[in-house]
Amino acid sequence: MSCSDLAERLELVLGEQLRDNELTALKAHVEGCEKCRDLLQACRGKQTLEQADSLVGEVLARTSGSTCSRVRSMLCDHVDQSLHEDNAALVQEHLNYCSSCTQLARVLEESAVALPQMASLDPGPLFTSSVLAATRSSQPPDKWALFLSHLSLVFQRPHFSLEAAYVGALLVFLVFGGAPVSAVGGVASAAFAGFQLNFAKVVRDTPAGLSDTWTDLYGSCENQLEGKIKATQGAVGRALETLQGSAEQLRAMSDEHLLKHAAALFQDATEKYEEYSRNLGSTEGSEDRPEETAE
Amino acid sequence: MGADERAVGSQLNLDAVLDRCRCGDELAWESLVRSYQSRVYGLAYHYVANREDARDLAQDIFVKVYKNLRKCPDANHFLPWIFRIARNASIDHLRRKRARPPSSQVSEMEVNSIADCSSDPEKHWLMEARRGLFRRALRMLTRLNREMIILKEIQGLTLEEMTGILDVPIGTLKSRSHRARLELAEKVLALSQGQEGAGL
Ligand SMILES: [Zn+2]
Ligand SMILES: [Zn+2]
Repeated sequence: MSCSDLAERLELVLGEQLRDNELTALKAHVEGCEKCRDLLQACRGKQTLEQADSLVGEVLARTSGSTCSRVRSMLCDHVDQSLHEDNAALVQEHLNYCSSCTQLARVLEESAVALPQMASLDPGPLFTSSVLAATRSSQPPDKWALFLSHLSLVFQRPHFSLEAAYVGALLVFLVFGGAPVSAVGGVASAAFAGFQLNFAKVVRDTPAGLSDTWTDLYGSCENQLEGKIKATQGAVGRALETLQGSAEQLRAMSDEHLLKHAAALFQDATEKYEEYSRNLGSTEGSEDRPEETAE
Repeated sequence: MGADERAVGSQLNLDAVLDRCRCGDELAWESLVRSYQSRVYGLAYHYVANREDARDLAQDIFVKVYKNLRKCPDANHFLPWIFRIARNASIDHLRRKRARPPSSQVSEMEVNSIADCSSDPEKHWLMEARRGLFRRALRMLTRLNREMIILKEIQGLTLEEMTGILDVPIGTLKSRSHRARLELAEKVLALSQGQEGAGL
């Protein structure tokens, strides 16, 4: 008789229902096999309940293999209630007797509730403002980029030269800052007043939406140009020189040329601004690179 | 699962907010940050397991999101998109940190979950302690299993969304998913039994 023969006949052994020749074989095997001796002792109640528990495991290990690992492979589906009826019943039956699998199933059930609750954590009261501060100082969604993209629409419009003239004049006005009118002289001052009238007309004639753009643009020009001209001597400085040079010419020109010239001026300033943006981008890029000096 | 279900606390619909953000609307951007900061911070925290690092990291993540707003997809794909950025930043952070380990180990206080709206302080404490146990168990998992838990079980992403974030085939994720949950449960069980044994 082998160990597995014994396991198969365990019920008969315990019920003392073995035939004589089987009983002889059993005794012979048990004499030489400590494991089976322990098994029989345990089954006859000479061991604690805990040892008996491990005994069932031992029996199973010898017959069908450990069912715990098979149950565990289905345990997630069991907890999710996505197991086929038959399997669910068998797993449930195992759980009725196996405390370690039951504990594991309870933790799985608990994690289905506890884990989603961990998705959001409070980063503290100052977090939002520090993010906003960090993104305000970093570049993109730039109003200028936005403005230039609107501009590409404007270029295709019949009003373009008029609108461009306004913006050009606006630039002149802004560039010459606090004392704009006296610096450029009476002609430019008059021109500017004229452009303001034109602007009102442009706004009235433009489709809804675009007029908002021009209004926004006015504010944006003021803020961005003032800030950026003060902030840098580089490309915008050169743009400024161009504008100043042009302002000299403005004085010498008649009103009808002024419109065309302001348009050219505006384009020039735009190009200069783009150059300035590119330079800004490339210096920022170099700041991103790790420092070569030792820490 | 729709975008609206997962978006946090925003009055406007997410597509409208994203449109405004793309055009440089600062108020919309603020609203977006407020809506997603606790999710992004939660994700970063479970990757780096340190509050200060997670906060800095979450801020960097939002700066990255801001710089890429023009590339951001529609509302239905926004959460996986922002999580991909967050996950990559977290992995980079861990890589840098491994190259330069901290001189002293500061004991980490546990963070507070937002999801907890229980009014009973004792119950609150018990649940928080329990979540702390889950966090400790999470740190004991292998990297892929940990990421499975963070992205799928904690943040609720689908396997389809996760293949794009982890660059792992969906079949692998499918077979991993249950193993990761089981492994976590086993660690939690071992930890809680250890606590009982120590008289806690
Ligand atoms: Zn034997
Ligand atoms: Zn079992």
